[in-house]
Amino acid sequence: MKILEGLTVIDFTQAYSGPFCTMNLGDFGARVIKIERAGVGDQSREWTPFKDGNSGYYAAINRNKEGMSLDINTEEGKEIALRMIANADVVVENFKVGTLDKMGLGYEDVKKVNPEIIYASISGFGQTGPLKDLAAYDNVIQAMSGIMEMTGFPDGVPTKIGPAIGDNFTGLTMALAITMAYYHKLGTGKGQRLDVAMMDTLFAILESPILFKTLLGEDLSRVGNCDVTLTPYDVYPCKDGYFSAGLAGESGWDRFCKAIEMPELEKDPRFIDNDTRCKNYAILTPIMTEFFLTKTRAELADIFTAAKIPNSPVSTIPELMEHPQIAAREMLVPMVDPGVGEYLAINNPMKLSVTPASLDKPAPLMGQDTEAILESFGYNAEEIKQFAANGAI
Amino acid sequence: MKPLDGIKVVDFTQAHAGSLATMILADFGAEVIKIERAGVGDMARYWVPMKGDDSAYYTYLNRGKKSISLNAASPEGKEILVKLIKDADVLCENFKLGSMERMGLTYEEVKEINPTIIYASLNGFGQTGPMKNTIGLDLQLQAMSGLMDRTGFPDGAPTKAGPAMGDQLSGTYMAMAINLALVHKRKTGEGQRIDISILDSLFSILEAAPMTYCLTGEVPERVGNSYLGISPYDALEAKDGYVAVGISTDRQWGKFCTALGMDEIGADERYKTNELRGIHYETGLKDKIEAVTKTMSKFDIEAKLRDARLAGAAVYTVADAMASDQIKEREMLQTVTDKALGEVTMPGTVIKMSETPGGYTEGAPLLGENTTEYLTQIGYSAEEIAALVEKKIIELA
Repeated sequence: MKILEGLTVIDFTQAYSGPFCTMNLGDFGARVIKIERAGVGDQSREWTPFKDGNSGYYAAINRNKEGMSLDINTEEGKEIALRMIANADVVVENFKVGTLDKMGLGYEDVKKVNPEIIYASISGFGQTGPLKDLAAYDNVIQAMSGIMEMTGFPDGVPTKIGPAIGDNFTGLTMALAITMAYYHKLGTGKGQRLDVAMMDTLFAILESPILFKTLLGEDLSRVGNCDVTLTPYDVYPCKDGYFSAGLAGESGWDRFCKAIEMPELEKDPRFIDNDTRCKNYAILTPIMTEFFLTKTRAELADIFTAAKIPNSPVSTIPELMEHPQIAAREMLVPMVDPGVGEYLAINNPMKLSVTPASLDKPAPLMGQDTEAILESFGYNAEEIKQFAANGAI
Repeated sequence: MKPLDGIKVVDFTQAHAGSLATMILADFGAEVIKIERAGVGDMARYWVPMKGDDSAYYTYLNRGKKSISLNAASPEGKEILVKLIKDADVLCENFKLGSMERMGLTYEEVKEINPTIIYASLNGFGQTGPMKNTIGLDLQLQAMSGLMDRTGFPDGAPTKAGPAMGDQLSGTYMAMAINLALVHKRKTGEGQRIDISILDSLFSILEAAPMTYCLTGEVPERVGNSYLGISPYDALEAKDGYVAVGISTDRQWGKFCTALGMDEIGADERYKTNELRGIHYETGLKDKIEAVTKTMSKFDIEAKLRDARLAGAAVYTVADAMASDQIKEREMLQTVTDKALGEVTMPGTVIKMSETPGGYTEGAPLLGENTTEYLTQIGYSAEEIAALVEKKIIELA
């Protein structure tokens, strides 16, 4: 049995944040009905990488969903959407704020046909506040939230976190919100409106720089790969790439010095304790880097693991795809997609013993399930033919 | 009313990731009873920023929770835990693998005490696999997960995401997994085991890179602040900082040049199309644009871009973001009175629910603040409590 079996989600989302959210619901058994605009489709269908004209980007985040092509700009399309919503539990959307209201599919409209609906809106800045109407790109939100300011090297430019975390973190947070709202609905029968913003999500994960400001009035900025309160704790260039090693506190400095074959550093007054080492970070780092440059990542991993010091090579993507821990955790699952063919899908990281996630089906081709979905909502073959003729589906 | 009202969590988590998960549960109404080591407490109680002996970091992650301070290694301490667990819905822990076993509180053992428990574990590499016993700090997990490989400039070092992304993300996954398990329990009465790893969590957000490797056999280099196929998409230098822009169509390019008074660059045939701009970006175009942006302040540029309805924003310092009206109106900073720190302002609750809003109205518990309360609840008399204090089995605030 799957946890979310019986939960029907009408999914108007596109691009990355919304589809990542509904993917997490689909993985646990929710029936996710993805509505794409007839003739156009989710914009991520145009995003790289491609195979045979099909987007791998789209395929990766739309597994476990049913695909329906519907034009909600037509009166007939809107009526169909409302009838489906009347028989659903959740609506998820990540349009520009107000778009669905204009189409007659806003929360107030939807509540009339389904008072218990859980109506979930993901947006750049939220449904309220002076910036609510602005569209947002991930880099804009990373810039405005303070994340870019805090990422990168002090003598370099502010740096974007590579993956679009404004999208995936926000999508996950909404999936959590929907699950909580569903839990509440099971207890009370009541639905509600959910509002999760990319800006709020990234701002909230800044953690201690906010506290330094409010508690002590101190402004922090980016520090590269180190931690101002811990030394050694850094990423060092080595013979074949980069390697991270670090201590979580005072303990282990003696072992660290032996590991890097510089026992004389242990009693050096410039590096005698963590605080002193933090002050002399700029002196100590080049000395230690000498050692790292003479070794490969594999050699370093052996050395530091034997010394019981937290360490890791900086892995590349191809290395991860072969990584024994990733394999043992079944984090990659072979899948055959009707568009891009065979690939390794990234499994859901939430491991539940009784009701695990399962990757049952690949992403839908555009409009693939339109007929079957309409039938399941009680439309007959005649009506469906008419919708198609009218261009609603 | 909050969605998790009535849910009782016995919380063995400490440090960051696990405490974040139970913070979210507490924000939404769960009763989170934190079990801390007598005399020491959660290691986050020692994390900066500190005011005197008290950590704001701890307060941020543990707002709205209760604290019991006890010695779990003693038989008496164990007995207290067993009584608490009997009556709980959820047990959370983020120890190194094996710690719960030493306490005699593995999932199998806890199931004997409470057959419908939801038992949630979180650690660096998970409860299974060849690295399950390895300790990883956030830095190592960012390094191993591929996140660092994807972050930074192609000619520079792989770069750590500033915030502890591994902790924040895995804690959020754990909170969601617990809610999923609560749904299942409400429907069937059945509990279960949850296993979250920071490595898995970070691996799940690498976006297109793993798929690109599957389909093409290779992965492009990290791209700094740019995005393949869109130009300019970058952080540009301003007089007083940086501005992030994303110009994805040729029409937007025209508007961009007009907005910043770059008519000459806008008219230049070499930069007419997105493709051409991509070709010339690093070999001249970027310098030309920055020659203009460097003369203006970052917020001026942001205003001009916004007026032109273009995607762009200043790179905000943390103080800038905190001062923004959007953050204020979204109540993303909340001030409460903490028993240790006094008035303290912390990040607010991200998830906005119309009927069952979350949030918090108090700070974190003092170490052992609720020991007496809970021991009384599970049947200990005042004399017994005094005797346990005497024997240093428990500690009161």
